[in-house]
Amino acid sequence: MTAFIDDRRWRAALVLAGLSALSGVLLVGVSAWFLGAVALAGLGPAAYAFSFHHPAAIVRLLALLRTGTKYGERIAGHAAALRDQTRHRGRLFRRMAGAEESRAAGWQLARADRLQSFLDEVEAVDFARLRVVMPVLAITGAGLLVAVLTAFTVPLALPTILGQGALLLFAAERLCAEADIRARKAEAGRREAGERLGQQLSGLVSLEGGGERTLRLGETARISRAAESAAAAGRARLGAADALLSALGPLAAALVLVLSQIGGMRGEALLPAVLAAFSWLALGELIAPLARASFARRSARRAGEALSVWVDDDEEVSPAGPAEIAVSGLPLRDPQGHALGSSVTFAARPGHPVALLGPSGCGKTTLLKRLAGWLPWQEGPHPLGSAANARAASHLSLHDAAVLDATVRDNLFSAASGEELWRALEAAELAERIREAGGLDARITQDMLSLGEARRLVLARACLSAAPLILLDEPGEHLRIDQAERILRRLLERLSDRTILLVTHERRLAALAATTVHTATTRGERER
Amino acid sequence: MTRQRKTLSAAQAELAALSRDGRRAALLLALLSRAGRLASGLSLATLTGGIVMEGTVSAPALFALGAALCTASGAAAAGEAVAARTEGRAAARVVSWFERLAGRARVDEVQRFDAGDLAGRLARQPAAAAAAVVTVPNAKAMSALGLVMALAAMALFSWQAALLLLLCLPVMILFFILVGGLTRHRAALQEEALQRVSGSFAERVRCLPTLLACHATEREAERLEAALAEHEARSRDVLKVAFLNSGVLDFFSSLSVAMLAVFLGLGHLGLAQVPGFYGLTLAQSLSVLVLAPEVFAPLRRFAEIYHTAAEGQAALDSLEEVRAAAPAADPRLPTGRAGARGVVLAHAGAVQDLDLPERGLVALTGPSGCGKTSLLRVLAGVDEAAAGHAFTAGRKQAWAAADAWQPGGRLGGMTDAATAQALGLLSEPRFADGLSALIAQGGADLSGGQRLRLSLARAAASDAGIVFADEPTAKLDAQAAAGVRALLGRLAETRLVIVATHDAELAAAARIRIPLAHRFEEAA
Repeated sequence: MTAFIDDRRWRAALVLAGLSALSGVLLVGVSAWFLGAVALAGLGPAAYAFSFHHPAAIVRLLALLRTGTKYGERIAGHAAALRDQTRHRGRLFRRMAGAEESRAAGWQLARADRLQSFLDEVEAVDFARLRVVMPVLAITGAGLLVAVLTAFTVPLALPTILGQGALLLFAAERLCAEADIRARKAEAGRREAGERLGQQLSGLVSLEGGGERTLRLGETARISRAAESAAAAGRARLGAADALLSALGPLAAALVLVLSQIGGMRGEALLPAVLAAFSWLALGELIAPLARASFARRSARRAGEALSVWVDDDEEVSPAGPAEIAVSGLPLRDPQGHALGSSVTFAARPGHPVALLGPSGCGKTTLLKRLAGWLPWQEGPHPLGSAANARAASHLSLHDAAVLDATVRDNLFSAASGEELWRALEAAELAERIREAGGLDARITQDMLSLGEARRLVLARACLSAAPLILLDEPGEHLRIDQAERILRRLLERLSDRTILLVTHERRLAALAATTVHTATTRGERER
Repeated sequence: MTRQRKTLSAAQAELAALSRDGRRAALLLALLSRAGRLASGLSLATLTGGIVMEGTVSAPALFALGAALCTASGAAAAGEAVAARTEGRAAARVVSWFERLAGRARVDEVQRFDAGDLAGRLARQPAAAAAAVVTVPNAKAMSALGLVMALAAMALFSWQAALLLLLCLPVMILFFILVGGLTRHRAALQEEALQRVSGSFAERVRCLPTLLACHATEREAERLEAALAEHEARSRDVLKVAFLNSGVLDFFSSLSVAMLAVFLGLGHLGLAQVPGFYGLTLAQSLSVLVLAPEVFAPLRRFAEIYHTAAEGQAALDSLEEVRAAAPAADPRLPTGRAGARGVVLAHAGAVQDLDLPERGLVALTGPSGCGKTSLLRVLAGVDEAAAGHAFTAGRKQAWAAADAWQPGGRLGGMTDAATAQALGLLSEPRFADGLSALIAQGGADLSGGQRLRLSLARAAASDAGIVFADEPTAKLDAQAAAGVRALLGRLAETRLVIVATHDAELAAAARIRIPLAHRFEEAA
């Protein structure tokens, strides 16, 4: 709200919005007043003496003013909202980059459906001022003016109008609250049904083989149908709120007119009452969108709460020394921090890479993330001083790393020269493919690259990293073993001045390191 | 408002037929509400005319106003409710298409769809498609009918005034075309820039862990801010032109009020004797005045739903393939006895004929790629054989595999302590809470081996007559594998248990072994 006072753009937008609401209201009011005045004048000889041009000019002026200010309001409002968007998204991204959730296991926003609902939330917050606060303020301003007008012309009508307005607004607000509850239920149901469907499709063979496919997908469809029916119920209530509010203007207009007549006004004395009455009528038109604004306010508030979980909590970093990692009897854990029953001992230093060899699911990836300072370290002080230090010192090459929808150059995350970049691509055996795609400035996407190509791009990134500690998660995944061996050998050579730790389930890759550490098997499961 | 007549897609036709009555009822109610609105304006004009000119409150006008307002609000609320309910039903139909595809179509047909994509579509497309067959056509109809109604009502008092506004329409449309030509290119640019910006934000959020891992967040944050700032600057220029469209509508709607007020005023004063604007009572001229904005109001509503229409049409188009999926019957022949005759597997070739007993352990063995799992799927009725037939006794069946979907809940709701202990589940840290350990729906928080053993435990607790297990001892340590073998043996005493396995020890315990040799020739 304060933005409308402090901020030049919002202030301009609000003034224009207020002017456009006001001129719209007065256009109808003054026109009616004018018709009443000329109709009364036309009855007698006063017709020729009536100063016609002034009121006619005012009516035309109001029409132009309304068109102009409405146009200005749209432009100024959107310009201000766009600037809000720029600031909000920039801040949000930085906050997310520093937040613990971004480093936790399982990045939910990599999923298209989650990302979409997250973007909807961001958008609701981006435009909350434009869609909610500004219209409400402008209508309130115009409403106050019409109320003052009424107080001076037919004061008797004011309490009734305000009482009736408050009643209608209250009822509409209640309906909006009900609509919001259903909309929320619908949103939750849609999300749940989507998630269930995704999981069930991945386990479709087991569901069919177990003879429960139709039953379980029927349950999912039921959740989805319930969500759609809740959405419909919410919309019906919003429609009812709209309908209620649309009666406000005409009711107030009739009240003003009838009470002025009962109050004994006649003839010309009635004309100000006509002005007030028709102003109420026009104001009624403006009030109708309030129901939608009230609904949008709730969504925006909810979205704001959802986004407030992103808190930048990254600490200060002390200057990084040479990264050496030595641990002894370090228990392996699952991503939730439960011990998996086995432990590892190793010492890695520059020129002395260490490979951890073990089956999938034995806690290797989690170990890398703990060493990189991404997941909590539960065994006393972190070997690199602190988790924040570890984050600053390490390059974490994740097995599920994403390919950015951007140029190859951008995707390598390096400030090195083009020549250096090509050398890294050569080392990762990706240069040929990139040349075909159009060179360093060609745009690539996740879908364009095969899993093996994406893997090699990730290895090229590691090759170019300036971090003293390089952590490689399954470097041979999706690659033929001989190719993986060639690339890893080159990588270890190029990064011989760094500390390297790699985890793999391939013996031949582990053999390239100076030391191989066998991670003992998880209880219950064995190595493939 | 160009109307494109397209041949209806089957999906659109089905939804349109389903919602025809509801849509028509909603349209009628919307028309009734519109009529109520116009009538309330006219009653108010009449009331004002009476009070100003005669000093009396016209009781019929007051009564008509009340009735008109009730009609307008009541019909509007009812119309929205009917439209919402109709859309809810249409959306439920779209959900049933998803249900038919995912729940009953052939498995290989379903697997052609991307699971994540389909899941996201289930959340969005039912409502979007439903709006395209109810709200959108009704708004189109209302923008034409509402305009005609307002003009017709105005013609009751002054057909010349109605004609004047009618003549405004071509001028307005001309403006739309002019402005449209000016804005289309810019609007397309803007849309593209917007997509890019929202895309670049979304893209960076999607890849955030990777950016963090590569120390690229600071660089990407700066780039994002630069992209947003550029978009902001460019948008400001584009918006000036893009909003001209709604500006034209505002201009005509405001100007018509001003123009009519001045003409009618001249008529009242007798300064000009223009037919249609002369000799009207105050009630009549106020009626003309309040009707003027109503002529343009429905046009605005139509412009507002442009986005809904585009989104709905896109949803309808892409739903075509979901709707087209036909339910598949069990590919096996119901012979009262499980088995197979002349079965040929798509990638592994012909398989010996099988006659399987009522109970006992049956092991499908052989090297990787020999078709063990494929045969298991054919016997379970998941897939159809390339040739030949599998038979079924029609008994209830269960399936255990490392990717098995799990109903969520507590471990104790799925199995008993003895079975869970025998399978080695209770000695794992994941199930430290014992039988009250919570399992998420789907089973994504379990390892493959845990999912497999849990589905075996559930099969043991069920009354399934046939249990299929795909590599039940793979990925397990010796102790847990022994537990699985023991359980399978116990189940085989009363049921038919068919396993596809590499495990020699498990195969040795089987009553029937079906060795499948690796074949290189492709099946016909």
